[in-house]
Amino acid sequence: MIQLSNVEKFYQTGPSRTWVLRQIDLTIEPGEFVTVMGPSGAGKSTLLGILGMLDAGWTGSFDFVGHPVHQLKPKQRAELNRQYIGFVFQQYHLIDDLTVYENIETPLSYRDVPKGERQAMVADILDRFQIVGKKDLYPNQLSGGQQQLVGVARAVVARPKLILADEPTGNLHSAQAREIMELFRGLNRDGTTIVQVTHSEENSRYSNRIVQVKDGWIVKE
Amino acid sequence: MGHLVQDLRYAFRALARAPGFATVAILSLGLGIGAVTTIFTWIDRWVLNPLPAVKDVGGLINVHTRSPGGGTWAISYPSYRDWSQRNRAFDGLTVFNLSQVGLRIDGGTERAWAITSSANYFDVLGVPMLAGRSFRAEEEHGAVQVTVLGYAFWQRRFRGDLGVLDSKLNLNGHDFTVIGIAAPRFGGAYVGLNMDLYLPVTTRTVLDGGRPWEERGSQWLEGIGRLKAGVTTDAAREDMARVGRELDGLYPDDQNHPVLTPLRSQGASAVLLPVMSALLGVTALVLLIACANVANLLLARAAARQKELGVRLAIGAGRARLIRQLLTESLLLGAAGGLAGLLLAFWGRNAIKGFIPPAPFPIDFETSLNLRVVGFSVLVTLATVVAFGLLPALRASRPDLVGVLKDLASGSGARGRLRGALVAGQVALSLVALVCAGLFLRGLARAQQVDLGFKNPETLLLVSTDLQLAGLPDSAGPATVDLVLERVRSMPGVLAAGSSDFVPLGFGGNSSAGIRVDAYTPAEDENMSVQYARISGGYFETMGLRIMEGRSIGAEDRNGSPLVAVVNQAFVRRFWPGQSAVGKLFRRGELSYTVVGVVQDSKYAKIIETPYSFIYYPVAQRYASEFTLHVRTAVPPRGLIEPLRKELAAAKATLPFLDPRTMSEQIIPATIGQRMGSRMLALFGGVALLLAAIGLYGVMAYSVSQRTREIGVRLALGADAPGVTRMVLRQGLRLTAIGLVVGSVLSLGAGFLLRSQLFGLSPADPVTFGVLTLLLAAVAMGASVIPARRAARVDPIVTLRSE
Repeated sequence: MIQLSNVEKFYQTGPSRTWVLRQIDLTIEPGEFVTVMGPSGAGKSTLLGILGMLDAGWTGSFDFVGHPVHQLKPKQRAELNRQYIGFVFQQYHLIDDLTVYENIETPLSYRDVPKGERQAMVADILDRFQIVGKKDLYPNQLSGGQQQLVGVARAVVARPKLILADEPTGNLHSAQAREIMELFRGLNRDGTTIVQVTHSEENSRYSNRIVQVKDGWIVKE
Repeated sequence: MGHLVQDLRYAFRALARAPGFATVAILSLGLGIGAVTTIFTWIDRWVLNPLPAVKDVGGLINVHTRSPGGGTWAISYPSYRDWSQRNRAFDGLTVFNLSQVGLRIDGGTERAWAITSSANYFDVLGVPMLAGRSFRAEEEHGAVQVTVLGYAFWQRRFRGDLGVLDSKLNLNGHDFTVIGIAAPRFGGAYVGLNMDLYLPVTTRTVLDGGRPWEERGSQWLEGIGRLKAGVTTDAAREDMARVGRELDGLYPDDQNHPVLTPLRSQGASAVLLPVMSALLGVTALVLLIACANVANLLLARAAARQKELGVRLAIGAGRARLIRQLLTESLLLGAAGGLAGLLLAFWGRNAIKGFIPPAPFPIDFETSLNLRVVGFSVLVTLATVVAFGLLPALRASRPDLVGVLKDLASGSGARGRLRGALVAGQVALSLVALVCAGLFLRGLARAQQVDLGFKNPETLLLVSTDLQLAGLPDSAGPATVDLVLERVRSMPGVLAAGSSDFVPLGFGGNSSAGIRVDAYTPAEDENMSVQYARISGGYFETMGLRIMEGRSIGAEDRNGSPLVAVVNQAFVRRFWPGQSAVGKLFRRGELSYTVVGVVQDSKYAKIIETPYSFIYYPVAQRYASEFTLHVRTAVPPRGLIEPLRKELAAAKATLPFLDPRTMSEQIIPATIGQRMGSRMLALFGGVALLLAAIGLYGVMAYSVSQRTREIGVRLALGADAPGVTRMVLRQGLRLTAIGLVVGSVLSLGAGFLLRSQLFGLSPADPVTFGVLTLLLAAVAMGASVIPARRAARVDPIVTLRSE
């Protein structure tokens, strides 16, 4: 599904370069549940940003479900993102002005899913995540765990093949964290590829493969 | 469509959650759009659609004769007849003239404003009758005493009673039969005036006698032609040039060559167009400043929404979709602003009346919000949305995604620079608006200092009267003029008095007649019509005009004595350069006049004009029943109005006492455009200044809030409060200085465009530029003071702990 070869990223500061990622070679097969671990500043989130097509300033080769991302234009990369990828963030990043229902509906709207179909898909997800009763609430009316639940629901509503999760339980207490991780496990069993960035050893146990990153290098796989 | 509705719903909700932002933005936009729409309403009324009840205004064209200076003059009745018969370009050619008549009604005499016109006036203009009929050709030929009432006059004086048809109106002592009522909204072909009555032009013989109908040099009629279908203006010009050449052969002494000019080049349209253009320009600046304000607010808001926009991009929104959504919010703001602007324009459309100085004419400044105005407002609103919304949307849709989603993003330097540039731009545009207003005001002040020739207009009282209206035969006229003047001169507080049928710098226009000068060969196409006035003895002394050679008009210049005239210096320069004019002769028709004196040049039609030839005839030798008393007073002239009224009534009880006014008031029309313009420009300049001050304050306040941590660190490191205040003030002043430099350059350009309205004032007038630059700098300093003082009050402990 994903094949990175010699992917590098740096920031130019005057005459010198600050490297963020160095010579990254990484292959992820469909259906894998991969955890990326490492200390702060190691380049984990940057790697996730590149996988999610959010970051364009890198060099190397990146093939994604048969598409050479390194050769694609920004618009084509955004299209790949829409077609295949769902994001879950540590800070949930729900949109404050939208209700739970609208937050979940938004990715479908961006994918031009017809209204009737959207309604059915959102209703299905609300039901599956057992948050039907909260559909008209705004994010600030939810607990952290509930917000992340909505965040995951929003990530999966468009049925992505790949879920990228950046510290998905970083702001949650342990019971809520377990609930979210169980959710990921279920999605993975259903065939969704998952790549998560985490500091948590416990969370990493839900995955079937761990990639260690340090100072921009993959140091252990 | 579904997305649009969704975007609209979200946009509405987002704005509802930020009511302060939305209110400031909508009010700013409303003010700008409202100001532009209001001015457009006026331009629509007086320039684009100056004659609303007239059919197909585009097919009409002004017809005049060429003046010696290259401008246009009125045409004579014989020329009109010839041109009508010989032209092939027009479906119809009509002539008309503005006059005042005494309407005897309800036991008194009141003045009514009338158009005397050729019979085809309404047909050529395509104006229908509300009731009754318009004139017939035989009524013009036979000087039949019939009249058509203006709609507003009919409503006002007869309360819309149709029973007035076929009744008689007594005008100047003669009965006229009411045959029709003109269509609503039609006030005559003088743009901006609303006429009471319409009369066949030939009835002027009955009304004021003495008019030299058959003199080709007697040019007193305005002309309008309706082009035949398919005939262009250029083709019409060629055709009328042919007519002119044919008539040259028949009447070699009268070079009355037709001149065709667009309808909008005359009257109120011509007077108001430059002023309205300046106003439109300045209100557009106000709108631009408002746009910059809102764009700045949106940029600040976008900075606060970086995370939301980043999330939207991460979950699949394309950039175009994001821009669309942001523009939808802008569109909603713009629509609300546009609506507020339309309301403002609805309220302000007739506010122009408050800016009109008092003028002795039936000025009609009623305007309406029609579809064209609403369409214009919608277009301006859309352009406004693009102006204030596009740049912030483009900027906001390109966040640093990875940083934003990790909550690492900080305020963008580029965005800060853009906000700074917008504020500098606002200051620049404000300076342009203020300089335009300042130049107008200073130009007007300069106009009031121009040497008019005649002296001290503020102590010159004018009263018009008409011996014909009083029922006096022409034979008794000169003696009555003398009697009236004698009585007036003996009044306490009166220094001198004289009479003239011409008052300079007014709205009424001048009389002119063709002359021939012995030993002077006119150049090819030279117009030998010369303007003239008919005056009494004592006129020059009353006006304070110096006799440069020979003598003034005196008591010896009676009817039956040798015909004499006084000419001005320009006349002498033109016909007898370097020679003495006294004793020389010129001819008017068959009559020969001897020049007995030369009077100094003065202003006749405009405050800024090159002196041109002018003749003064003794009223006793060239009689005019209608004249204006000129009274030089030793006391404030308005205090003499009532005593003067009594004196005239004592001389002849039926003498009308029309339009008492000072010369200062009389010359208002010569500067009416500038007076209106300067008042309104001052208002809009003030609005521009206010908006710029708000913009600068907003940016400085935002900048201080963004730099709170930095300021806290500086204070913790030992900076003192005055130092922090100075630092913030310096930032504000730097933006202001950039704005002032750019604004000065733009203002020079704007001043150059306005130079025709400045009465000779330099478009780079250093006083205007200096004072307004200082004013703007002071206001900018004031707008920066509050954020600067707030910065100085930052508590470093609290600030750093919160970090």
